[in-house]
Amino acid sequence: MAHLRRMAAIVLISWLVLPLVPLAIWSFARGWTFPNLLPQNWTLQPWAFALSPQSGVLHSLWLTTGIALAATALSVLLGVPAGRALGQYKFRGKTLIELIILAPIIMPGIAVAMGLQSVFIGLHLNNTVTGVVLVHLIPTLPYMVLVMSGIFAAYDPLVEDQARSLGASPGQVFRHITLPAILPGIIVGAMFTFLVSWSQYILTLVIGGGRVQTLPLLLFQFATSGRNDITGAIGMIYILPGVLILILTARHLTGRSSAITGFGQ
Amino acid sequence: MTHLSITDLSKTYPSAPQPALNNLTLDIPSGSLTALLGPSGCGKTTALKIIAGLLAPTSGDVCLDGTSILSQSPDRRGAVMVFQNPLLFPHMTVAENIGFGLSMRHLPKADIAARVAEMLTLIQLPNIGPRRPSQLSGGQAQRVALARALILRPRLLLLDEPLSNLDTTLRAEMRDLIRSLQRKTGITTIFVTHDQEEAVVLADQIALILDGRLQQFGTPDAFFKRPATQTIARFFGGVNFIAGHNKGGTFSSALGALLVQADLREGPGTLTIRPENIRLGAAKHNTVQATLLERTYLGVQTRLILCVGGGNLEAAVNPDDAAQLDIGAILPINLPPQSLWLLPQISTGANQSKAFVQHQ
Repeated sequence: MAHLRRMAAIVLISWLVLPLVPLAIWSFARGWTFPNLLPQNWTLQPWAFALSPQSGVLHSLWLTTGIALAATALSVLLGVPAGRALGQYKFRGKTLIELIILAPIIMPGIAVAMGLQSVFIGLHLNNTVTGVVLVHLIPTLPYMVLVMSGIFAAYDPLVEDQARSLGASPGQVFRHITLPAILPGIIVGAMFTFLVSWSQYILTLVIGGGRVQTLPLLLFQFATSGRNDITGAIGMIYILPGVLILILTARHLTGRSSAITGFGQ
Repeated sequence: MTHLSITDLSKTYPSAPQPALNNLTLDIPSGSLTALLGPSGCGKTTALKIIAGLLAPTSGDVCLDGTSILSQSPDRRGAVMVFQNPLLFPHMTVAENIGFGLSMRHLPKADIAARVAEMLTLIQLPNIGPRRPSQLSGGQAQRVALARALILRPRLLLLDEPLSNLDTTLRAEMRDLIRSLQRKTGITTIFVTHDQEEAVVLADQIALILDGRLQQFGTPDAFFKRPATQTIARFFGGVNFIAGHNKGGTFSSALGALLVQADLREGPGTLTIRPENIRLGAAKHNTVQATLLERTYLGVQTRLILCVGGGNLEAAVNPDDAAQLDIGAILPINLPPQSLWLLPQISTGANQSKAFVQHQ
């Protein structure tokens, strides 16, 4: 078991970290041409530019964080009750609802975005941060609902009745019984949601109309304009939450966490 | 010590056409152990949940010591329910599980710890306090669930099929534990079961419920000696039914005129006698000639199938008395008047299609 875990950790690290090495090197390079294994000269210039106000990186960083946090909060608020309904109850049309929730993951993002754009224009939500937050729910909510329905499928609601009968008030039942049972799922679901929102490109571009300049949009601008050094520096900032979350959840991803085994039930 | 009275309690679920519980009226004496007996889906768990406050009745009332408790929330009733599954809280230790109700009442930690230790001794598992529920066997988990309820010293203890998830050995052990704890604490206890043997062994009185209706309420003994209907008689092992007419202490049937006790109801009816009450030989009253059709040795008893008056009777007699009898022989038997019980001609209420678990 310990051996397997170490293997999993090594695979995860090489899979995720190795591709980032050139990006990291670029962010400190001044001139790095083909036959050379390493840059001819080192510099902090790309970082200085990335962190300066005129690059817009810091503004985008806060904006992206805010949008991802808002999308995560909404996902939790909507995904937990939806997951409870789907995980615990049998009702007519359940399969249809599951399909509708999963559909945006199956459909190409660009098709969804184009279809939604006209709707959002009608609602005057295009080119607004609110619109972007709402449209981020389309790819994020399915993850939240899936994780929570797995958690609730393994959760016997009778324990709440049992706790009530043993003298717990509704508030105490939630605090001492329900919350501890579903919290691992909420944390894992929220992390997924945050990351999916954080890395959203197409939906932000179409619904935000270029006015809502999140980090991936900015990154893409520099990448297409050939500034590999600045792209490297922004890229390093961009992957920060992903790395943090990976470190925090590595134990869950390689171990047998209830939140993960619930996935796809 | 708490006296429970249930009056005209009914429950109809919105999706179901038939009421799950139909005008249940029961008076349960303080300190007694009462079984709600019936097949699954007969409404007995519904009744328990209403008493516990986990379900609202459609109509009727539930009173503890004369005061209605229907308006009280489940956490304030003092009627604690233990479910069929132990439902231990997985993120707490065994000790935390048992102390749960007390910690919800914000008792000092030291007091809780002392009472938890006391309960662990009472359920004969003194060392499992620090364990997690996932480390317990089914029988241990069930005992912990019982301790978690008893620690609250409830006015009323409600047990929903407490033994059905256990294997045979554990079941007998747990049954004895429940009985002795109930005697020791004197807590008025109601338990739900579909197992008639369990009800007979454990309960002071049994309430038999079929299709949401109370069929009979009385001591286990009464269910054997004075069943209310043919269905109930069969359920408790009755096999002999004789159709006829009762008038003035004489029952006229295919077996001739039989003397019966004077307090039995007059008119057409079905006479029943338990196999173990049929006697071999002639007596002053009710002697009939029977042809022996079958003899089966069962160890403590010998079972005889006898043909009398065109019908069959089953008798269970002392093996020594039956050893000399030949198949086909004609012999006198007698049906003692005090062992004869009259049932209504058509069994009321219950339909016979319901299957029971019956222990041989």
